[in-house]
Amino acid sequence: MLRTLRVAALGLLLASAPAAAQTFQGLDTPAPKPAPKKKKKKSTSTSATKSTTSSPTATGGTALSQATPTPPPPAPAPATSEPALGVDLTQPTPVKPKSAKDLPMPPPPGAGAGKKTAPTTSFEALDVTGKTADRQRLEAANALFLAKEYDKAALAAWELVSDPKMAPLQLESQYLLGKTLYRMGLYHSALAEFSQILGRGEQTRFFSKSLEWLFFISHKTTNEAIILDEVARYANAEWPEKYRSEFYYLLARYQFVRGRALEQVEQKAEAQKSFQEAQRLAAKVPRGDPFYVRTKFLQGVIASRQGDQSAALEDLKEVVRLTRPPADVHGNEQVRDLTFMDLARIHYAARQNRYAIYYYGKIERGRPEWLEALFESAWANYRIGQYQQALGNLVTLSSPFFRDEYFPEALLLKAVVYYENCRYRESTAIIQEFERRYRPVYDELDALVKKDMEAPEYYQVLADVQKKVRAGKGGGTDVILERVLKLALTDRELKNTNDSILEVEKEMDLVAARPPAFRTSDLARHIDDDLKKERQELVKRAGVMARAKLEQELANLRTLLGNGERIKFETTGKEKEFLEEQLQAGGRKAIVKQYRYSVAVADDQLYWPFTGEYWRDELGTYEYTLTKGCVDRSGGNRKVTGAQ
Amino acid sequence: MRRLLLGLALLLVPAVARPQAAAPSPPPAPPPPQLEAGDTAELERDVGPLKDRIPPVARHVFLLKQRWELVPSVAFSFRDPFFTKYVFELSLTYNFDETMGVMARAGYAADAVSGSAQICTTGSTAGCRSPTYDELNGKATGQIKFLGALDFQWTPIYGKFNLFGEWVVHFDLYGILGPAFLTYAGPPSAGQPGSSSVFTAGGEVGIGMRFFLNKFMALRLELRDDIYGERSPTVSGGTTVQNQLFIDVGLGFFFPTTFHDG
Repeated sequence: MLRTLRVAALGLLLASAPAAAQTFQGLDTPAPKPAPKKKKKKSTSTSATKSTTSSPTATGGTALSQATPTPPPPAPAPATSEPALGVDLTQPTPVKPKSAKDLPMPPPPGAGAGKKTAPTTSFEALDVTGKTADRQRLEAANALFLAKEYDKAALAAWELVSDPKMAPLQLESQYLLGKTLYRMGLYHSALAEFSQILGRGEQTRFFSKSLEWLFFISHKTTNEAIILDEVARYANAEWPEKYRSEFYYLLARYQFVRGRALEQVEQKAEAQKSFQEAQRLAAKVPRGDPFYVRTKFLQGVIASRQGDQSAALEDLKEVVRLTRPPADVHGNEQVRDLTFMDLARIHYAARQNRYAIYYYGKIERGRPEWLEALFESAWANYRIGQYQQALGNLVTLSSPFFRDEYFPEALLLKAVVYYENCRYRESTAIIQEFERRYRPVYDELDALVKKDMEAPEYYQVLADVQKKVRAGKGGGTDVILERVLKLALTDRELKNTNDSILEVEKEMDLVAARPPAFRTSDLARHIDDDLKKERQELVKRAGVMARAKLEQELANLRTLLGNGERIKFETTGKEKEFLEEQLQAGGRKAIVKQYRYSVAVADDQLYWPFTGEYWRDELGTYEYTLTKGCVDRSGGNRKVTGAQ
Repeated sequence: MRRLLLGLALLLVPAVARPQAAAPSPPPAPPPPQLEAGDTAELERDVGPLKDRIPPVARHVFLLKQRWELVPSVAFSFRDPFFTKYVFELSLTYNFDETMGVMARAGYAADAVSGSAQICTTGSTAGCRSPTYDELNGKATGQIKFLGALDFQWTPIYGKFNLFGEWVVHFDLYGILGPAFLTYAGPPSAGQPGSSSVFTAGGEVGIGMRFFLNKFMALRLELRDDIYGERSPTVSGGTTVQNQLFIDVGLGFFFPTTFHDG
């Protein structure tokens, strides 16, 4: 009787043990050293206690409901149909967790664990640890994980997951599998496992832990947006407090991207709703939080999109204040640059050109946005008649360092500046150069778009060029295609998706490079299948984006080529006009005259004549001296009046 | 440093821009950082990630790679107590790339009495005078006749400077190191007058500068030390180590005469 009671007590103890045994061994924090079995159990439960402070608890849930008295809006449905730009534009509806029967694996049985344990021998029943054989198998897999033998741990976990007899422990095994795959650097595969766990619903044991793992994965992958769909799907879930700000930020971003996509398809009212929802979510991130800066930036961008430029300016200036280098501890340089760009664009749009130039000038040399800032600042300089600075910026853009960058409009701007200064021959020559360079790109784009291929094929074209360029085999028409690729990748969303595809491919290679015992296993096949499916989905999404981008760029290039023609036409007309005047004046009338100019510079500057050689540290400081121009300088082809 | 000052100056430009009523004023420019002379940290920061993306210079005004350089030059020695050598030389360099090259050089030296060492007498006609060439011929060291060398050339520095704020002069700086071969006038054979020609080998080390005049010509200045052992003309005999310092001025012609960069 006493023995029976003891066994029952041990059984109860074991049944409750797994809950306490949830640890974060998969994280990048130093994993606890494998210890003897008995001690190990103790140490894991300690770490579980520690993690309780930051992991979701009932208390945490109350805190959230107190903080957010109004229930969060229903999450958008998962993208099932082909979404525009990869975002679901359907009416947001709350998503119920998939029913258990939809899931690839059998759900945990409703009956108690004891009822469906694997048949045990009388010897196992007498095991002094009181653990069932199944539990021992799981613990063995866990031990392998702790010993950093991830291949073996993954295989062992997979064996448990795919064993129908192990139904009671399947969820835990799958959780272990997810963690192990993460540790092996197979982040997308790990995400697939955690997604499945999440799909079983909030009531399952590993739901909130799996939510946390979404964040860990997003921190490791090149494109954090890969978890956006999952985040949006479980928007109503109880999010771990530690990651709540990140969650709000991601969800706000999701709503923003959705709103933008809706705007593009002319669903303005729905778009506004999304923007408002994004603002509401963003406002929940507290000041001082590491995600506050990014969220504030997002708010500024949304406000600008909504047409509230004053609010946008305030939000963006707040970002500038918070990211001033000595004070910024969160490494938001990129956000700071983007903020300056947005500030400059807002001022530029309001025709406050000097302010725009000021903010463009804030982008440090060499930063990712620097070239774009130089180019846009050239337009602002042109608007206020600072032709020399405008041309100077274009000298930097045309340097061999940036030969492969795509700024077709730069040549047009140059042509316009020369036209304004009555330098018609130069203007015509520049337009010819523009056509020589970009007409083939246009033709290639046109041919591509006219092919009317399936979305994935568009991506495939880009992927092939990408591979050729990487292998250094590009040449001839590939040079044009390479420009097309660069053009397509200027779309940030497409670039992110492309990065994700490359990452998935890398993971497939990673699996193929594992030892034979792993790569020939069922698990490897399962991972490979999942990755292939994910890749297919991403390719499809990227294809849609690529096609949209190519069509958009084709239209832009068509407009630019048209503008080029117009400039050529205007130039020819003006030239003809002057030639006629010259004939009437008996050849005594000049089109241009030498300008008086000085190379004098301020005391704290030095004048360095440009000799055709580009020095890295001089980029961005060039000024082009116009030595000749219209005879009547003030009465040139354009009067700059009232420009700010 | 000049770029830094220029950068700071440009930063200040918007600060004095006309204020506009419609828009809120931009945040004031931060005060310029206090820098120590020679502090390049700020410059590196200014260059930013460009440092990893692109080379320091593109579309060079002059390139050495895979070009021959023929240089007629004149060198003269200094700090030699007995003879000043005027060496008429011709050198041929092949540049493998922008930094490495091999140079062969040959020259004929015309020696003149330097006058640094004086012959002094005591007594009623006390005084000092320069020795005559005949008095030193074969009896003093450093009387070089022919000179040759095979040098490895390393050109680590390429730069430009601003001349009178108007012209930009491009230059490079190189070092040479290699074996040298010489013949000099040594002590005559026993009972013979004058001197005898002696061949010896040594080494030379030096630094030089090229100032590029156009795409195929460069003015070359070089300072080098030829080190070799010379039979001592003194009664005690033996070998003395000679350090002959030369300043070399030449005009380099590059073949092929054109090049392409970017």
